[in-house]
Amino acid sequence: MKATGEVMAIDRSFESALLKAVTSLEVKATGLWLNSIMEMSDKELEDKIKSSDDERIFAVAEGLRRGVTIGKLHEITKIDKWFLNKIKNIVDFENKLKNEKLTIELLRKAESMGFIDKDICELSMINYEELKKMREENKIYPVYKMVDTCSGEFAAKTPYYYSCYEDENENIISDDKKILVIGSGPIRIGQGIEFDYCTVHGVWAIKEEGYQSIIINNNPETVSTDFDTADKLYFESLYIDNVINVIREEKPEGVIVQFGGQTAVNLAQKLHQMGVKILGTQFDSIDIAEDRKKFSKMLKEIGIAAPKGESVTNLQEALSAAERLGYPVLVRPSYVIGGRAMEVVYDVETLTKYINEAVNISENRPILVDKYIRGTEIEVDAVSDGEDILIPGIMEHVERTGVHSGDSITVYPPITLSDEVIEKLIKYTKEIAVKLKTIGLINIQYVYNGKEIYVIEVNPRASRTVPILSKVTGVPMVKLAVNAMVGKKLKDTFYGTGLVKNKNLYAVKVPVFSGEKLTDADIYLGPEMKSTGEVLGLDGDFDKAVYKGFVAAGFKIPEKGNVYVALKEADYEEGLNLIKDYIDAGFKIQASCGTADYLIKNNIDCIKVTLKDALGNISRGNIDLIINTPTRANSIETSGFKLRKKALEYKIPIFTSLDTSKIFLKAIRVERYKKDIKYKTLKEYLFRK
Amino acid sequence: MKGILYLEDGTLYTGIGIGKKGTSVGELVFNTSMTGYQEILTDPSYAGQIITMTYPLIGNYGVNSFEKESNYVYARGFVVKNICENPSNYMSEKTIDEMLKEMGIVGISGVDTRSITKKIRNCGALKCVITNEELSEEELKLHLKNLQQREDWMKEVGTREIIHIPGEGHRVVLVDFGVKRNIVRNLMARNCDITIVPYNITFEEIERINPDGILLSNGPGDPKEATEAIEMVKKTMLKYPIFGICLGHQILGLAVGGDTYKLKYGHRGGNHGVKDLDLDRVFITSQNHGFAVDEESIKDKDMIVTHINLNDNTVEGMRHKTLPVFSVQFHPEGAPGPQDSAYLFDKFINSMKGE
Repeated sequence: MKATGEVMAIDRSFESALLKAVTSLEVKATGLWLNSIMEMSDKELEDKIKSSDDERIFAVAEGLRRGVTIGKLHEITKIDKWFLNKIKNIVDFENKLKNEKLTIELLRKAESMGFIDKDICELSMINYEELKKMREENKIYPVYKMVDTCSGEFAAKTPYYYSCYEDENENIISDDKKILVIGSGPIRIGQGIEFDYCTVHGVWAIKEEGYQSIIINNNPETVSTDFDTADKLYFESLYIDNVINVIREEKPEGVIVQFGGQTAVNLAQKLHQMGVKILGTQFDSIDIAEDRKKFSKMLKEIGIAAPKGESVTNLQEALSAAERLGYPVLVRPSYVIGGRAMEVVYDVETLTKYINEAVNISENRPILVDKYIRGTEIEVDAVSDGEDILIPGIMEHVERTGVHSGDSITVYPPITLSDEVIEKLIKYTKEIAVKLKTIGLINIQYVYNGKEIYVIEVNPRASRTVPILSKVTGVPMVKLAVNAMVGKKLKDTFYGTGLVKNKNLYAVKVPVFSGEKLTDADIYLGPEMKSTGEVLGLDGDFDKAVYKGFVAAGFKIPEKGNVYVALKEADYEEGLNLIKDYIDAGFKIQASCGTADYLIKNNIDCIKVTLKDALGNISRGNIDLIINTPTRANSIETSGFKLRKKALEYKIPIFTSLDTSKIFLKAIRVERYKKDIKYKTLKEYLFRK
Repeated sequence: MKGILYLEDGTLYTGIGIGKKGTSVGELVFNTSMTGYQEILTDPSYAGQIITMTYPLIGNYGVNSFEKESNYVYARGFVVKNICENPSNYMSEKTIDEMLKEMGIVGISGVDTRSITKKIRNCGALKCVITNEELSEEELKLHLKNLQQREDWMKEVGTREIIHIPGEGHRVVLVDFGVKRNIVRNLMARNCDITIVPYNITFEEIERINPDGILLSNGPGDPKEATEAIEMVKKTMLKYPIFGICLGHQILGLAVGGDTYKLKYGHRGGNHGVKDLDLDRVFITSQNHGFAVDEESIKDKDMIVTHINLNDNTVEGMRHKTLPVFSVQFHPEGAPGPQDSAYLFDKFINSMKGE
């Protein structure tokens, strides 16, 4: 298994349910076509169909488009002909839309088959306004059917609906004041279950405030799509058309986009343009946070530093921007989830390679080039009512900047920051939140390089750390955010404003990777998120909290044995002390050729081991821990990748950051000296003096 | 080809005509089974009715020669949401549309079957016209007006002659009111020597066959129309073990002096929860009936209610206090649907053994 999440779509025909589900995936496609596949040669297409990857359905559809027979496709894929015929129905209908004039009847059929407006326009070659007019004049809108699990045989009271193009609308629209929450769709790396947590807590708070709560979401794994979580559930794609259709039916007082992750936030602009009332932070503020020009201008106005950066649209611009900023630089495509395709780049050669190979760059798809600032990354989550903020807690990353926040070990409360720095963080957070007119949740990522605090990122929405902080501090962040959205002031609440006093515990979040399953993915830590989950270690003692975190994440903690070290040159000097610490803790060192030479030169006792031998040693159980800071990551040819795969295969702890290796020593010491580990309930930590 | 479904309350559904080109009139009912359309269509108990399938995708696995419950389609029409033109199954021989055409059944697809279901749920079984000819509303109304509603289908759909299926085991007389083939198969599987007899068989004729027991089959229509059969059962039950299924159960109810009544919209589907009160166990059952035995009416007739429907508490089974006579409203033979309650056939065999 390689999938990280799933969507579900309900409709009256297989074709429409399939197209709805594809739309719900939030990949590049809304119909059954992907440009990359349509550009393939017949041979490439056949190979693609054979390879059965996540894009296979698009390849199968393209095959049908090119006249490959159902029989042949069945022979290659063994997909039941029933499904292939249904996909063919969709492809045939595409042709119909292409070749025939779009009549009212045809439009109705296209809608009922699950085509979205944008695709109908494209296939029929009419403009959107025309289509919209046809829909309005002929009332071509979906109706909603109840999921009653009894085929309508008995009257049911499950407030759970899906859209379809049928005769009868079963939707019961209440006259109560209502608030619609947009969910976060499928779980992906970078947009996980945390947003479902926020959605569900949001619903509870909305109910408490006396509104009818309504959810739109498409993820069957979540609690938000339980039929009894919200007062009403729409099991729908989160594509703007589908969301607007629901809003047209329900006419809610307002829509909350800040709990559903980037999926929901990305809808803000269109909703705003269509005149839908967004509750909490408005689209303009979201736009400022996401548009780097507006964002730097705002930071300048309030005098808060950010790493210098530029937006570029071709290689030449990228190279000259990097020249001006000075290497290393952090490069990434704009508007992506989870730091996808983000990299720290140290030289011209790598930057060129990145621009040419790793990303699609164009006028419409700019790449962001930022100065990379090395330092401690800090995560601040706050609730804002527009005037005041409440910070339940601050979290510090163990790994320095350059590691995605989702993949770093994160500690509450901060352990290395001075009171002065914390004061500044509070001040900055308030200034940013107020300046951005934030109502509700805000997440800010800072970096502190020992001298200055820089803002790396502001997300005026729920974040991955909201559930953690709510749990370990007892501050119901989402509820307070909803309160703020309906006009309540923080200063009037029990929790007040400012930074909440640290609780008497340490919380260590440790990411969990699925490296054994995702066999082609490299687990080295970088700016692109790779972990699929996380655990939390709690204890009154920091080292024990670290230990509990590692244990919970499934690490085998060695007490003694051999550590294999393979560092990149830039890490030699810093690695020296770390390796000494491991030796002091009783470990023997094996090192790769380059690293070994350096260690021996510095009078450290180690055995020089080639990669080949290291792989053998892993298989024979002669290596208990690996510290490997990679030079060229993400290439499955590199020797480092082989090493990391092997380690995963044998479930040997492997760290690609010196910082993680360092903190792991704490867990080792707890294990080695058999420190007494006690377990308490969260309530005991939070409420017992 | 346009298809129209016109209900007696004036509701008009427009869809695509399938099956035979023509017009048909009957009582509109719905079935909630997700599969088993072939068994449903060939079930003689649907005589005179127009069947709406609530599951929106019908015909996915085609039609074959093995899953028929009789040789014909007795229903008057077939209403579906989506009809499958390219079925996929190793046994499939033709599409459902081809079957409808061969059997001369008028059908319609592309209508909001869920709304039709809710309509029937709220109004009860309705009279309707189904057509794929170009008919005016006046013509549709005329068709409805001319409908001679019959409830005596059981006299027509069963065998006209006595059929003997030899077997080594118990000798069973199967009274055919429109029997489903799977009832016969269940008896055959238990090695019975089966004599299938027509609706109007008399007690004396049965005596001449000298069976070990009698099975009263399922069938269409109002049990009260089955007057000859009721009279026959009155006598035979005193002499032979009896097992009644569906219409057979209702006829037994009337034979013991009880009463039957028409349900608002009946039970038709494959997932009705029924509780066996003797076993204190719930079974999921296959059902197809529009009438039911009145619980109060049999209380003082030496009958004990043995099964109840968990959705509406109606009588689903009963037995005689002293005689080896029992019956169920649901279909222990499934087809389509669960066969969890096939144990009732064993019970019948046991009652013929005198256990």
